[in-house]
Amino acid sequence: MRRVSARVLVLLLAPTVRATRWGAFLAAAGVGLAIVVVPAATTTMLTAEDLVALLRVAAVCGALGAGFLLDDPAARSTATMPTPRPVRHAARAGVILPAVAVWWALVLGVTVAGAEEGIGATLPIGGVTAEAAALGAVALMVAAVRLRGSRAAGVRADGGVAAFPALLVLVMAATVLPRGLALFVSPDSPEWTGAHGRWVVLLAVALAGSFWASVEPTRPLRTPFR
Amino acid sequence: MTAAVVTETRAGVRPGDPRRAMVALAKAEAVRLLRHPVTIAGILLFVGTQLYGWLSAGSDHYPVLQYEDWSKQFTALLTLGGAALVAVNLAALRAHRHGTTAVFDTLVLPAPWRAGAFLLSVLPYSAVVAVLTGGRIGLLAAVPGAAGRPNPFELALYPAAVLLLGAVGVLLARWLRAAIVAPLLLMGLTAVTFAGALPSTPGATWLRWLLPVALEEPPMPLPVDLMARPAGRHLVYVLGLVALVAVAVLAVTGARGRRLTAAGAAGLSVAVLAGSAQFLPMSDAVRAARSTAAERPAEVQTCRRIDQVTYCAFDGFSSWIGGWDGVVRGVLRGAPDDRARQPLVVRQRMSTVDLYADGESSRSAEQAAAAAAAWRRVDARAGTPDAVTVGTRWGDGRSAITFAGLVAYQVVVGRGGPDGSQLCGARGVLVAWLAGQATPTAAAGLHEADATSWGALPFGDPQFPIGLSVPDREAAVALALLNRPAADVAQVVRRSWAELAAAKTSAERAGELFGVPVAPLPPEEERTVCGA
Repeated sequence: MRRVSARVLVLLLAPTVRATRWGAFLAAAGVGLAIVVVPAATTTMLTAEDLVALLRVAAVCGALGAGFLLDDPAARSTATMPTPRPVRHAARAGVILPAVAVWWALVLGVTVAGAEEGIGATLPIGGVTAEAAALGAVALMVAAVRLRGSRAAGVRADGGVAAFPALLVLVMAATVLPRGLALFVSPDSPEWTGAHGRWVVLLAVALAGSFWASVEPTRPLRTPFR
Repeated sequence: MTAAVVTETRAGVRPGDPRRAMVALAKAEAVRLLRHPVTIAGILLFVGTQLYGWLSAGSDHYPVLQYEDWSKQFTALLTLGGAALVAVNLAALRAHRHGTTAVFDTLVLPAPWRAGAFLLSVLPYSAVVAVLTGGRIGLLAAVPGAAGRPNPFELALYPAAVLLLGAVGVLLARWLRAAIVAPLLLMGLTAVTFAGALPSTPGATWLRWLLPVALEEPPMPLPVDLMARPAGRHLVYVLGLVALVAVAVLAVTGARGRRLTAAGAAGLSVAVLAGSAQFLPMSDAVRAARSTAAERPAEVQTCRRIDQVTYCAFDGFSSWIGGWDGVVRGVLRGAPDDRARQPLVVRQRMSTVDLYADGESSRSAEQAAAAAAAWRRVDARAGTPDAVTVGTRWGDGRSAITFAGLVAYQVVVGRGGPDGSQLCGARGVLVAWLAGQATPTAAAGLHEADATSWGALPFGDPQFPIGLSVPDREAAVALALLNRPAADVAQVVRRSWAELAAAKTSAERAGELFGVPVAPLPPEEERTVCGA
């Protein structure tokens, strides 16, 4: 069964690319890229802290768009398919992750190349990538949980519409956290390592939540013909 | 569907009466907006951060009202305005998201009127925002240490900006029919507002004031008469934009007509006129008031004497004198009685020159000395040559330790206005200890300055040309003394005051007197010049 699923997964990739609604993600990725391209193209002198702030805004844009990638108008009709839902979600992930990774690499490349006076080399790329990954994972988790809930209730819903407000609220709340719990810290702050520990925890929780939400919500069969 | 028909019948709407149906729909949508999770989260975030700031400030709260009125506009734009943008956008997209847009065409209310209802539904929420932000300023004004007075135009901008973002939410829903656009606009607005706040951005002044909220910060809070933010013109500009967006919503949904065109033209001309009027140069009255406050501060100040200390504060700031006096008494407590009983003058000063933005932070020693001399001449002209400078920020550790350091310098050295150079030897130890032990807030500020500086501990507002710093070697002795009971140290200080306050006494000798080990001098090339 497991080997069959793995083979099915490969077969599913191409149709999943076609079935995924890319519009929202591409719009978000475009805005995110524009936010780093414009300062990189001009000669504006930006510090490492400014550049990290721009990368964060771009990462939030990408995560906002990623929340829409799980939306599937045909989801109700695929619940009865023999291919289990985790496999279908894995196929989605197999399509989403490379796309998001390519976009993020592009954002980082533009930022590093466009930074003035060699600041690009001093940017904490790893830490900011962890933040971006955690934000994206949270968006996917909220979308997956929302889709699972709507599936259980038997109604059609969009994951992205639930994911982006949740993500915005999370980001706003993260910017006002008091010292000691802060998530968005300045790159030269002594709290950088501690904050990134918290980001990794958030990433792990979001991934675990996504896995949980991927399992088909089944209810005991209640038929009137008993 | 049935529910909608029933509701409208109950509201007493007759066919052919779109106005009342629109108001009924606006009421229903307004209630939904107010209890939308995003709206509630936005309000909680705004109120929560304000309450946290309030509670953590405790009794040490000295808000400047003409600074507080506008400085939270950006936070409010993101939390309260962002909530309006997203929630109104989602509400206006509801029919589209559920695939029922076509069904709505069978209702009595034509599309422009339904869009109008969504526009109206933002009004009660912006009234809530007005109450929240007005209440916030009211509470701040009731604080005993409040200074100045708020600008009503700045306060009115909060609900106006929320109204603008709500209207933009409706426009996006009717125009681009995709839920992702509203949050992306919010992120774009965040990035552009920050770009406008950076002085290095080309055309930053223009960009800043064309956005809903302008982050234009004078280097320090200023007295009311010196404020030059075009708050009233900016408010009219934003209201013009609201009118323009509302007309665009109606036009996009199919409304046409002469009245709509006239409204659009009126909105556009108001926005353009008020928008460009924002860039008029500063008025002569403000310019004159600024130069008076900078060069002849005594003319716009009120002085009050508490025992032997005279405090001169700008109009509106006299509520801070009690706070200043606490620090001065704290410093004098550590000095011997004959020194502590000598008269002292404290004068509040301000500067509209941004030392950072003008690239003057890397001035040469001669330039720094000349700037400090010019600063002292202003005090001398006012008849108080050795006045201790205090700024227009108060209530935090930084401002407390800055002021305490300057008071201590005046008490130890007997000369006002050091030019930013280093104070070495026993005097450095004594000044740092006197300042640090003055009040708990000053001690917190000293430790904060210690954590964020290297080489020497600074005492001085970086926006003022005067100040001093104490090298780490001397500062380490003072920090060690602060861990001991203040009374014990004060006893030694009183006994050996003459020796400690003498310019020639070394740090080693001070360490000997207090019984604290002193680090050896750094190698010749790493030593700094002592001069204060």
